[in-house]
Amino acid sequence: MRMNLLYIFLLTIFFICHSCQAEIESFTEKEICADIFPDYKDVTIPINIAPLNFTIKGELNNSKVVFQTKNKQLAINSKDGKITIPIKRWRELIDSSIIDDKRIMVSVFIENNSSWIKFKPFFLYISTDSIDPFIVYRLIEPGYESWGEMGIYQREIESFKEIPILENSSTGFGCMNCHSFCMNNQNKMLFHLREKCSGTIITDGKKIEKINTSTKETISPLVYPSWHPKGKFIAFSNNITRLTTLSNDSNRVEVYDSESDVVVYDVEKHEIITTPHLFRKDKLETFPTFSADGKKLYFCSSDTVKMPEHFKDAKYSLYSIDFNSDKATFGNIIDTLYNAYINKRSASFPRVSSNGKYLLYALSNYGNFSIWHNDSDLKLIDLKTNKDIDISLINSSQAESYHSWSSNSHWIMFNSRRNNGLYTNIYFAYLDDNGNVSKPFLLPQKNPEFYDKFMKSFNIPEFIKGKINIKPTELAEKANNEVTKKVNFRMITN
Amino acid sequence: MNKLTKYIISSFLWLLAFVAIFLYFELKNKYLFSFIEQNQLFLFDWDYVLEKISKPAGVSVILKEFILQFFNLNHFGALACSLLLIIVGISTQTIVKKINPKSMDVLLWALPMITQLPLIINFDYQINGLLSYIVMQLLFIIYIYYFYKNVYKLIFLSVSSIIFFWLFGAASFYFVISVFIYELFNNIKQSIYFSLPIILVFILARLSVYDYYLISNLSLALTPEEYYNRLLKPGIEIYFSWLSFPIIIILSSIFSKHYTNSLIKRLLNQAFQICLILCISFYMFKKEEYYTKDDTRKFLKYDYYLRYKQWDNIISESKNGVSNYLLNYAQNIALIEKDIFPEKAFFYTQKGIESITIDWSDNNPFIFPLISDMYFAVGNVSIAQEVAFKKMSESIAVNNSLNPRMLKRLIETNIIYGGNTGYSVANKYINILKTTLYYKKWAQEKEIYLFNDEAVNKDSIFGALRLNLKNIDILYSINNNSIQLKEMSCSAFSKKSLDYYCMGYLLNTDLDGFYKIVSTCYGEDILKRLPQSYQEALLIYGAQNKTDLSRYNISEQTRKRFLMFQDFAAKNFNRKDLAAIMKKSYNNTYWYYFMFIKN
Repeated sequence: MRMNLLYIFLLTIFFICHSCQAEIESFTEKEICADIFPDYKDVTIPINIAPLNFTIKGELNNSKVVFQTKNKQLAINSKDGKITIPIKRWRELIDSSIIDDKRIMVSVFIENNSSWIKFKPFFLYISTDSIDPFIVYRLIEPGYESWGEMGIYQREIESFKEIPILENSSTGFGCMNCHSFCMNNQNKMLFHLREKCSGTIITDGKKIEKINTSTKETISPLVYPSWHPKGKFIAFSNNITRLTTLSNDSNRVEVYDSESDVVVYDVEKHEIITTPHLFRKDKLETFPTFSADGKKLYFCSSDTVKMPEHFKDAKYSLYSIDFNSDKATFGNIIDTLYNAYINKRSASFPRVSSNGKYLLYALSNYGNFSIWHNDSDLKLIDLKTNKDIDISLINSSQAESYHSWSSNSHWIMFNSRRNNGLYTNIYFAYLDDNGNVSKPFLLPQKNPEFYDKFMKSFNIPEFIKGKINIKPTELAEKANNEVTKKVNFRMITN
Repeated sequence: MNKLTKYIISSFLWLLAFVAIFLYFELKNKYLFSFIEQNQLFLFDWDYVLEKISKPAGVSVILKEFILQFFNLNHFGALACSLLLIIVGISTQTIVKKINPKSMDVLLWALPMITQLPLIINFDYQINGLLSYIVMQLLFIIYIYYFYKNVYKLIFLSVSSIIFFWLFGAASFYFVISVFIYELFNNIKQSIYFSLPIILVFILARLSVYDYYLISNLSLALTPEEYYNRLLKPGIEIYFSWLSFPIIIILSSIFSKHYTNSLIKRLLNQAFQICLILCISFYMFKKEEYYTKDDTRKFLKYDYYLRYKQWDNIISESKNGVSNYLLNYAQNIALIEKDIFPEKAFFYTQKGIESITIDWSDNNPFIFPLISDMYFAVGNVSIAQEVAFKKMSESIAVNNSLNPRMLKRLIETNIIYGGNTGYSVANKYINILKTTLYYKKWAQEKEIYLFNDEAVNKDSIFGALRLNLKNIDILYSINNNSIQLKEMSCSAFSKKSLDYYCMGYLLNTDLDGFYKIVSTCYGEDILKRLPQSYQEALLIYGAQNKTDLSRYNISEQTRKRFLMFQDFAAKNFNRKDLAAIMKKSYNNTYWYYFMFIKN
């Protein structure tokens, strides 16, 4: 008798479980895709990305999403529209898609008044070009010139693990910014500390150095960085930057430079060098970036204008100048890649891909701090032909701004405010061997509703090839110490 | 005296203490609790709860925020804090009685309570500090009352300290130290084993800081800094309050070994302890002087009135003068909101241009809500939004929590700006407030404005402020000229914006700047009629510059009064008490301000 009851009990459990996963046998098909957030419909993703958790928008009772390849199927049921994919099952799905046609079909079902609706399936296209396993970004409120809590974090791309590199609660709540890596090498990093514990931190393996980059010849400490591929030099700008609030403008604030110059820092000699071509008082030079082979230095420059009254008149062109890293000298000829005088728009944040083929930059109607400009878009130049490549697919009606390249030059990571126009998020887009770009996708989170409530912006996203192993406490200890190294300045006149 | 009698007397005394503390909070610190509440937000959202409890001390934070949300209700804050303090007192008594059953040591029972009470008034000290203190005491009570065998004591201590650390943070360290001290005095041979949980908690703290990066430094993991405003360094009284617990253990243990039967000695002992209580209380309150002084209390009251738009209360309170710039500023916000600022400004205290502008270049977040209220009142939405955002950043940094007052302001300003960005951001904030108990209804009411320009434009406040965006642009443009000023459109806020601008000149006694604006705008829709103070100012300007003022329709009564003022001042110019004499007749005029207050 007892055994019979046990069998009945077990059978009941079995049928209950089975009914939860039962196929939906009858449904009405819709010709449109489901409205989901983030919008992962028809995006190209790397094989080593974390699960693309998402929510189905609308007031829902029951929903079901089926991920399908030729050989594998994964069904996720939900009562609130939140679709959370177990990491292990996701990996299996991706692995099976690689063997097959490198895509996953996603079918979304929702229950509506006791009947089911099936939306038109969409696809996730899998690229075998993997993405760097970690990214680094700063988290900060998208506010004005002051700040509260902020930190620089590293995030594992394959999972949702986020670890602090340094938080400003350890450095007196000062500012930290402009983290940068030499050729995506996590062991060669720099970032600045401002206001409290001021200085620039440079790491090389386990070695941590804090330097004071102010000199009497330069207008400010060093600001926007770009590592030379050999790691011996870092190009920087010096900027006097101000912020003004706009009372009746779709752009909430304007950040502008009243003065700026470009210099190069010798890491070993602790010396700043520059040339008069990059140090003009009638120009605003900024955003230096080295070419992939380190032989050229790209930078943006505008005529000086009276600030803040004429901030809309500041339009930056994109230039390059030769650089000889063996002799630490500059060329004399300035080449123009984008001419703001002719094209009437303003370039910022030029970055060259690791393979040297492309240059990506941001373009807005004026100025240089493009994240605050709704009209800012990303542009791509083929450096062999000097021709523009159409990447309009990755732009939106809101600001696209800071960006970086993966170490294999196939993935672009960039900041975008397309979600709500204020909070900056990280997007990825794939660039194939022919220069075709795919639809971008948002950095996935464990909680699909993460971005609805998160009150910080993701800033300065950078790829790195491995995990940073220096502990936050080690960096904090160095940051809180007095600066031991100062730098010299030398003007090079060829 | 039998046990029952002792129990009744004890209960009565605690009840008296409760009432006394409650009355102290209600009568002296009534507005403190609402002030604290506005810097934290409890969300009825599982993701939010899970995120908090995934770090050490997360449960104490959740409890704190849960309790704080009710601080908006009248008397709740005072009741809750009084009750918590009494629990501290009773718990201490229970502990002391166990260590020293014959104890009548009032000081020992009262010490934690009197050291924690001033901390509650210190609005930089977090209530979860008090909650953690109570839980620490309760664990200690369980430990000393229910565990006798060393091995069970050690197991309980080890397990509870680990869990306690995770749930309540640094209080766990004080717990294990207190237990060790207790064992040292009561069980000296075995006491060494009871140092192991201290090492355990220390290891946990180190792991949290150095290996798992859950806490930014060891001080936060092991000291009461955990329960204090992270942007500030706590004073020594915070540490003293927490150290009072192990001190009590030490003293109780000592007294238990030195009990005297002499009544006189015991009475002297009690008298000595009461004196000591008074001295310690004095010391603690002296340390918290900033939070207990009249100006601070008054500021909290004004802040409350501002928050709940009780303009008449502010004006009424200000009738007899205000003592500092912040109160002056708040008073003027009320006058502006009541639309009587230029008419009545000089009936109240004015202290120069600082009465309506605060220098916030040092980004002191304490004053941001005030500044946001001022700029919202005068129709300058962009600055109202900016400082509200900065204040919210500070709340996140200090409390890892949102600021509901500023969130509401940000919803309003983003609705006013509209467009995809404004509405989307407002929507994000509204969805957050919809998961709260207290602000849900307000948030739901604002949903009708989302992506609905028609609803916004029709709203008397939002629509008028939206219209005023362009006026602010014109008014504060560096190059504003007379043509642009005339282009200012008339709205419910355009007059307030212009009045604020003009009154700035008057308060700064810059009559040239004032005249430039008034002469341009008078007669236009935005300035059809001159308020009393403008007329008075024009008369001074006219006298100084021999300007023809006939077009300004200055009333005959005002002109006559000005002549009388001039005449009397001229005749009595050399009198040292001239200001005092003229005060009675002219105190509420701009002339008096111009001549005696500002200059």
